[in-house]
Parts: sequence; C-alpha cells; structure tokens
Amino acid sequence: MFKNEALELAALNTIQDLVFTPVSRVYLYVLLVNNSVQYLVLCLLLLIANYWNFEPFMLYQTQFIILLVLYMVLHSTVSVLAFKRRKYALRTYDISFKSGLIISSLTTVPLSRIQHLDISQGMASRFFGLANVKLYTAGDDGSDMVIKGLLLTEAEQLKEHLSLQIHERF
Amino acid sequence: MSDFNFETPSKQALKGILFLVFPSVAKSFKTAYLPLVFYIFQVLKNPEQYRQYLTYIVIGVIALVIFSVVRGFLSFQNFNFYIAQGSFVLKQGILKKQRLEIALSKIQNVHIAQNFLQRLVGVVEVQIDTAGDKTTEVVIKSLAIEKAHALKEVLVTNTTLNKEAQPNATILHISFSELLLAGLTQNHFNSFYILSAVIFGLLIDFRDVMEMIGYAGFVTDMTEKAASGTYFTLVIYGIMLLVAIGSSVLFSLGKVVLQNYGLRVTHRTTDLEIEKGLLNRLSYSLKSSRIQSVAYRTNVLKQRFGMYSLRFYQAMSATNSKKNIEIEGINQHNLKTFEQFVFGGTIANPIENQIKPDPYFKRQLFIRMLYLVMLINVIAIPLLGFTFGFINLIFVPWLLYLNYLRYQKSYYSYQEAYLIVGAGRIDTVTNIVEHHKIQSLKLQQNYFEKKRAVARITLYTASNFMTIPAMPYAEAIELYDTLLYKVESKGLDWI
Repeated sequence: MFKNEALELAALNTIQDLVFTPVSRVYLYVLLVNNSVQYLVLCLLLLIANYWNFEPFMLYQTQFIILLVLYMVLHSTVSVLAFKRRKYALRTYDISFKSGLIISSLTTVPLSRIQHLDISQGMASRFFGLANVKLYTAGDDGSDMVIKGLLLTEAEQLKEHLSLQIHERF
Repeated sequence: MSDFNFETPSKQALKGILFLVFPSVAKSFKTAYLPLVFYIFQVLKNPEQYRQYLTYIVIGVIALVIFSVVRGFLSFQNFNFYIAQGSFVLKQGILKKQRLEIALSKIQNVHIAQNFLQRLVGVVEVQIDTAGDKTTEVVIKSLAIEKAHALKEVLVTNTTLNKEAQPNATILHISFSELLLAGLTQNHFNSFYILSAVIFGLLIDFRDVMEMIGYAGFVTDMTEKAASGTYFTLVIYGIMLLVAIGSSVLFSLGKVVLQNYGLRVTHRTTDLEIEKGLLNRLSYSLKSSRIQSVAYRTNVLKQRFGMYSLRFYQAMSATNSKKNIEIEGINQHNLKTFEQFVFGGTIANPIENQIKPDPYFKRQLFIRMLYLVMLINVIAIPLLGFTFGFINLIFVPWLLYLNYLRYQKSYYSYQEAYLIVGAGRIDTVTNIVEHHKIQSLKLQQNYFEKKRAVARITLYTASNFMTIPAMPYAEAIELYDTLLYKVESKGLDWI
C-alpha cells in the first residue's frame, strides 16, 4: 500500500545538531603568515611615503603609525579568535561551512547544486601542506563556498567524494 | 518552413557592415585619444612649436581611419557561423582565429534586438545566451530580420526537424493609454534621486568652469543669496522644486514608454515571447524552467488602478543585461496568467501566512539610518557649509518614514512549493521563489543579533538573492532546515 505520511518538521535532521569538523590547526600558521605579509606591505608603504616626503603622511605621521599598529593588533586578534570558528560538515545531501567571529555565518550548499569544484593552494598553504576547496554553484559569487585550510589529503578526499556525487546526477 | 540553410557557413548582412566598421573606428580612436588630446593641449599652449607636427598628426588620423575600416571589413569577412552536429559554431578573428562551439541544448535564450540605427538600415542584432558558463555569449551584430527569426527558430527549438507551427496566442497586449498610466504611477522618487545627482554633478562642473574663466565664487554667491530667505528666493525655490518634480515625472514616464512601448506577450508551446520597446525593439523568449524567481512591484498609486510591474529573473551569463526582464502595466488578471505559466498554479491574493520580522528589525533599520546620516553629514558639511545642516530637517524625517515603510512591507511566507519574501519602501515588492530554485542558503548573525537571538537568512538563486531580516533564531533554524529539506528531497532540477 502506498503511504504518504505527514512529515513532522521537528523530526527532520536539524542543522543545529550537526557536528562540525574544524579545519586543520596548521591553517592558523597560514593565516598568520598571510597577515604578516599584509602588514609588511603596509609598513613598506609608510616607509615609501616617508622616503618621498608624501605630504599627508608627513603631517600626521604619529597618527598613521598608531593606526597601523592598532589595525595590526586588532586584525591579528580577530584572526586568531575567529580561527576556531572555521568548521565544516558534510551530510548525505549537503555540505555546510561555518565561520566568523563578529559576524558569524553558516552557509549550506545542497550537493545537487554544485556546478563544479576546484582545489587551490596558496604559497603559504603549499608550504604547510594545506589546500582550499572551492565549490561553485550557478548563483552569484556570494553563493559559492570556499573551505580553506584542509590537509591536502583531506581536501582531495572531499573533492573526490563531491565529484562522484555530481557525476552521479548526470 | 525555413528558407535559410544554416548548415553552410553564413556571414552577417552586408548592409549592416556599418555596425562592424564603426565600432572598429571608435575602438581605434579610444586607444588613440589620449595622445591626441595631449597634442591639442600642447598646440593651445605653445602654437609655434607644435604646429610643424600637424601634417604628421593628420596623416596619422587618416591612417587610423583606413586601418579601422579595413579591420572592420576583415572582421566582417572572417565572421562565419553555422550549425553542425547539434552545435552552433562561430568562427571569428582576423589574426587570432577563434572558434566557438555551443551545443544547441546549452542555449538558454536567443534575443533579437534592434536599436534605432539598426532599424534605419533594416537589420537586427541576435544575441545568444548560455547559462552557467560565465564567459560564452554570442552577439551577431547585423542580420536580415527574416534570417534572424529563422535562426532563432532553429536555435530555440533545438532541432531543425521538430517544427509544429503553433498558432501564437496573444495573452497580453498593453495599449498606449495603459502604458501612460503605468508611467505616471511609477515611483518618481527614484527619478528624482537620479536627476538630483546629475544636477549636483553639473553644478560642480559649472562652478569649475566659472572659476576657470575668472568668475570664482559665482556659484557660492548664488547659493548664499538663495539661502538668505527673502520672499524672492522662496519663489525661486518653489519654481526649482516644481521643475524638479516635473522633470522627474517626465523622466520616469519617458523611460517606461520607451522601454515598454507596444508590449506584447504571446504564448507558445513552452515559451513566452515578449516584444517591447520604442527605439530599441527587443524580443525575448522566456522558458518557464529558466526563470529563477519573479518579483511583483506596485505602489499606493498603482494599487489604486490594480496595476503591477513584473520582473522575471533568469539564469544567464553573469554580465548579461537581458538577464532580468521587466514589464509594465500588468493587471491582477495578467498576473494569474503569468503565475500559471511560471509556477503551474496561482498564488492566493492577499498572500497567506505572512510572518513579520522580529521588532528588533526596527532598531536595526534605525541604527543603519544613523550611520547613513552621519556619513552624509561628514561628507557634505565641509563641502557645502553648515547650511546643509538644515537639509537634515527634511532628510531625517524622510528616512524615518522610509524605514517605517520598510518595516511595514517586510514579511515572508512559507508555502508548499515556494517562498514569498515581501520587501520595499515606496514600492511594495513581492518576491516569489520556488524552493527548488534555491542554490544555497546562508544564515548570518552579527554580535548584536546574537545577543538578541535573531538571525537573517539569505537565499541565493542562479540570478539573484534575497534576504529575510531579523528572524527569531529558532524560527530561522526551522526555516533553514525546511528549505534544505525541500531542495534536497524533491530532486527537482533548477533549470
């Protein structure tokens, strides 16, 4: 007999109970290296401004330096604290990613909506043996998902698994 | 049916060659104009020294024109397209040969457009869109009208064989008076903002020009006189305001009439054909499966006449301007027809189960407004002086009123097959998206939202996104879970 029972919405698997896996702890170093590069560039800019006697900088020299130091301290603190929030979770039909300290966000992409995916490695990531997995959907840029800081093997496994799911659709 | 054979390579229409040569000339000038401008300035400054180069410059310009004409002609010669083995093939390029192949099944839409010049010459432009792929888009600049329609027929029906000529049932035809009414009931505030920005920009240019020819302080004098508050200046202000209102109304009316003149929608087996435009005549084919979401727009005035404007959001190459099609002057009855076409059913009116945002949303809007006011004052006061402070007296209540409307018009409604999101300020906007058109979901909370236990959800479709603001957290999670369940369990494709 065909049965079509009413579904109790509360009985659905809720995203709240999902156990998320943190990204590799080594990724914190990648973040710190990337931050340091960014700070170095900023310091260099100030040095150049100093060298060329760039007027606005010469007028507010101390303010500029205080601003830079403040930015560096705040930015690093937020990066380190927010790092623990970077987690992902894979379910049968979708993949989710959580991140953010000041604005925490949770994104979920149903596997059936993934158009294609790729693995990328930045300089620092390559050094530490990490990789980023990016999932593209047909939506705007905001709807794509990037999971940064997975171990290369983990990233490849994930990609393998997701690719298999995508190909099964066609 | 088709008198045209698309299996052999064909070129564009020869009489439209102007449209190939002209852009080529324009392109050359675009790259060469900076040195030219530089030269002209040098001559103005120092005529004696630079006049000797004039011959070279003239020869250079002539050479450039000849070069561009030849390039335009060669690109015409090297532009071939044909259909082979289920693919549309386009070959182009003079030195760098390019071959573009699009499987017919990948073609999303074919537009035929005609701007004013093209109409004079009697050719049309054909644009071929593919979805998903963000780079492939084909434009054939000039084709004879019959040939363009034959090509579209072949491309859209995907096979040269399947050709059951169906009578096209016209389901909508907007008369000129209806269009005028639609134009008059537009949200003229938008035109007002645009015109104000343009006039403000011109005023600043004008001031610079006055300064250059030695009337420094002319504009400042005028504004000071105007701000002195005599009876005369009040009259001036009154006239200015009337002119501003009048031109805003004319602007939006003109826009609606130009874009929607002779709007006609016909129904074919699986498509809607939309034709519209006065100077630029456009024709679109709309497939229901390509539509990702739909938005109705109305306002107090339009509502009185039972009128709406309707926007279809389609899945299409990212940079395409034809992505979203808006049509004006739609009535309640037409809406039902469109709903039937897009969703295969109609939506109850008024919309059932409307759920309002958490009252915290009001505070959020207020705080955002404060930021905006602060920003504008910080920028404007050094620029325009403290007289600008008085503008806040009008500006702040206006923003407060807009916020009030925004809160009033915000809601969402979860229904069996779709989600409806209400938004808008002056306009009342109703966004409708079918569950299976959702590409991904995002739930966000900032520090304050977390303290208040509210969250916002953003739904992404293949052509737009919409945000449901300030939902109580538990409710947000429930909606999130439910929408995911709907997308994943139904197994319906989004295109």
